[in-house]
Amino acid sequence: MIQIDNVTKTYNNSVRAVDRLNLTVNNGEIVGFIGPNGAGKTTTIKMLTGILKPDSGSVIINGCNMSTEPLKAKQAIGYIADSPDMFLRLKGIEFMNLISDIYKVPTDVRKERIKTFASRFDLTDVLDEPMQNYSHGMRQKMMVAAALVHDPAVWILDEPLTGLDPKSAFALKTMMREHADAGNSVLFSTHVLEVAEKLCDKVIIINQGRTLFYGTLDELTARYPDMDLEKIFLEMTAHE
Amino acid sequence: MNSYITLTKTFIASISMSEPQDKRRKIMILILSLFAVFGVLLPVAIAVGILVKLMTETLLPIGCQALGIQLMFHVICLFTVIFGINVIFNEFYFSNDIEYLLPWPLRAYQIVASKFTAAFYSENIMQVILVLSCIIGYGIGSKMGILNWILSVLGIITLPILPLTYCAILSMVLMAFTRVIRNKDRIQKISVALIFLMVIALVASIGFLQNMDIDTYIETLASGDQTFFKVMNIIFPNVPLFVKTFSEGNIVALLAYVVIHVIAVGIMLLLSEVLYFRGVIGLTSAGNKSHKKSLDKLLSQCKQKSPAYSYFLKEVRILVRTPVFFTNCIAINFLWPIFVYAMIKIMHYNITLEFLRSQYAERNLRIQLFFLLGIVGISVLVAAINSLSSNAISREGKHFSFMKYIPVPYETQWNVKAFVGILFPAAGVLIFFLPACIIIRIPVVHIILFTLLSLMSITFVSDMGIYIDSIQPKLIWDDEMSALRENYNTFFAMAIAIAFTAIVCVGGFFLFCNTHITIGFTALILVIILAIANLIVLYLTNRSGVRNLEEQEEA
Repeated sequence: MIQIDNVTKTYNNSVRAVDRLNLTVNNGEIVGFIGPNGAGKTTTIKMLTGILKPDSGSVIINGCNMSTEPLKAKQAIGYIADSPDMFLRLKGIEFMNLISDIYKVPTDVRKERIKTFASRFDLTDVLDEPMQNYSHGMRQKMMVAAALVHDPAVWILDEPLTGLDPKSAFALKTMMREHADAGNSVLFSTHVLEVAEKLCDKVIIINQGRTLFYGTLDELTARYPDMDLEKIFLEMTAHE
Repeated sequence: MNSYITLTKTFIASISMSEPQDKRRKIMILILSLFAVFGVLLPVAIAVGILVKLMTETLLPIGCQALGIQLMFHVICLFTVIFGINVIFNEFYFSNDIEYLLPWPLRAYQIVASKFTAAFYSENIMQVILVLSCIIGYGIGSKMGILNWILSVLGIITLPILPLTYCAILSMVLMAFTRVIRNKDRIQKISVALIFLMVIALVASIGFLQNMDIDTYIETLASGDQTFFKVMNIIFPNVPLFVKTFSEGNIVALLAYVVIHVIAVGIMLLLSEVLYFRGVIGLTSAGNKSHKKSLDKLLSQCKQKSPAYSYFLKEVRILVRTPVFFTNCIAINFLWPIFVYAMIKIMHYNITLEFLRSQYAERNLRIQLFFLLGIVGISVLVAAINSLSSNAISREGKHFSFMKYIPVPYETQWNVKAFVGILFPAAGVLIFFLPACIIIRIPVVHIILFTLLSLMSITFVSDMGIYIDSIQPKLIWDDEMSALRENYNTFFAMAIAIAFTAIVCVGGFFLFCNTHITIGFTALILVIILAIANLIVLYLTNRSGVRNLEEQEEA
């Protein structure tokens, strides 16, 4: 479960990127994080993962407060950053093992998971190659596999589908659904409204660091009858 | 012209480090800057100035007063070529912005001119200070007139242009004809290996030249043998012209100086139109794909390790596999014997292993002191020169957030980085020093003491380097070379290391020579000083090191 209470973040004492944001992602839910560029999505995600410290408010992951129990909170998270160009000098298998060691995944368990991810994302043939040889999409798949190798309860994914081929995108979406259905929480940011529409139980739309809407898609469409999601999004963000 | 100006501004902006946001860090950076400038940079500049003044005054009676400063300028130009070639290679061919520049409607000469200016800007600060101190030393020594002082201003900034032009032309020619090797890593390895060979050859040749002291050199000049100058004047014609300009107030020389630069830059830009795209297009970062293991084989080798050990392996793999880090941070640890050899030769010491063995056996206290202070000095300088620790956090670059979101305590990550910063210089120093000790038949107790001093020195520099880097790491860089060379933290750490070595070694020498303390007591003082230095850094780390990491908000 993810819980954000009244979180605020200001950069350089001048730019308020996130303004008193509240959000709860219950177990069993997939929540889509939507907003125009610069709305504060990535800043929020970075506060959720411990990369940034909020100026005020609290972030609680699976009952652990990020500011008082950061290691426990981080252990529960599977995080995919917005850029997959990470540690490109390492081979795929070395990167998977690094992440597995960091999250203390036992040898037998990791072998099984690496095998599963390699097969699901077509990574089998490239695991023994340095990641600098990979294409952008291949690197993204590797980041997805590494982020989930410790089977975290909470998935926090920043634009996870960017660069993935249709097969891998489908595999990831299926995994997100399976993960939520198993009683875990998934929060992911996206610009692709159709994905949010098909996959999410709830969406949160933010702009200029403030929540414009948080609820189910039915609630959203009921508020704007005769409009599709794209028009609703444009309508909401245009008035900000 | 507009494209050139815009591109140059962009490249120069990307060189500079971001300023800290909070007051605490601003004050710390200010203190470090002031220390680096007033504690190291200015004393070095003053020493160079005094050296040139002395040379000028010595050569004045024989009418060759300008030869001293000319020699210094030749050396500066030579070192500009040696250090500049790596910078130019990286700036022209290996920086990440190349792939964005190539699709733009830019001519090759526009890219080359802008990148050359940025490289010149980043390389010029130290040269300006050295050239300026040489001119001041010469001006005072030869009692230069106002007009001469005014004429000297031109060369203060422009002297490194010609050597850097050579680097640019050389890099473009080499890259245009390496079409078989299109792999960036391989080319970088070869180019860096060549530079290392050049440095080793240069240092070794200094060592072989037994008559490289200033007195013999002046005698050679006075006797009319100026072969060295003749050769160097052909290679760097800007030097004699510049010296003639301000020493004689010669306007013709000034014009010739300007013309030579216009021609050199013109040739570089013309060649860039022919060679640059030929060399840069098609470069790839892709590595070797052969000898791949099967998934089953890979999985059979998987074994759980502790987070700290795995993090350590990650650090080492990146350092060893990245050519720039490998050469500048790892290989450099193993080169110090060549420099020590050259220093001994320059200072005219006739030291052989046999001599050291006999003197040590006879309990020659000066030799024992030489070892005692030498091991501290070498350990501190080797640990600082490799930039392993003063670049430890900056090295993460845009992956810095990884340090923050993984469930590994900052203290553990810090300690692993510090350990890496200790491991390589310790290996580099001890791998030569310990066998030498055994050959010289130094008593075991002494060897243990030397090893302890070496490790304490390296630990101090490693922890100090990371602490400095944690204050304001350079996380935005285009290529690994920029993370090293454009990072003020490496300079600050080096400045502190140089000052520490000077105080401890020179102070220790004078203390021993001018008082009646024993060699054992000197050793004890060294241990205490190093223990205190380590405790101070440890205190700073505990007080604010981890806090610096926590508060650092990415690139």
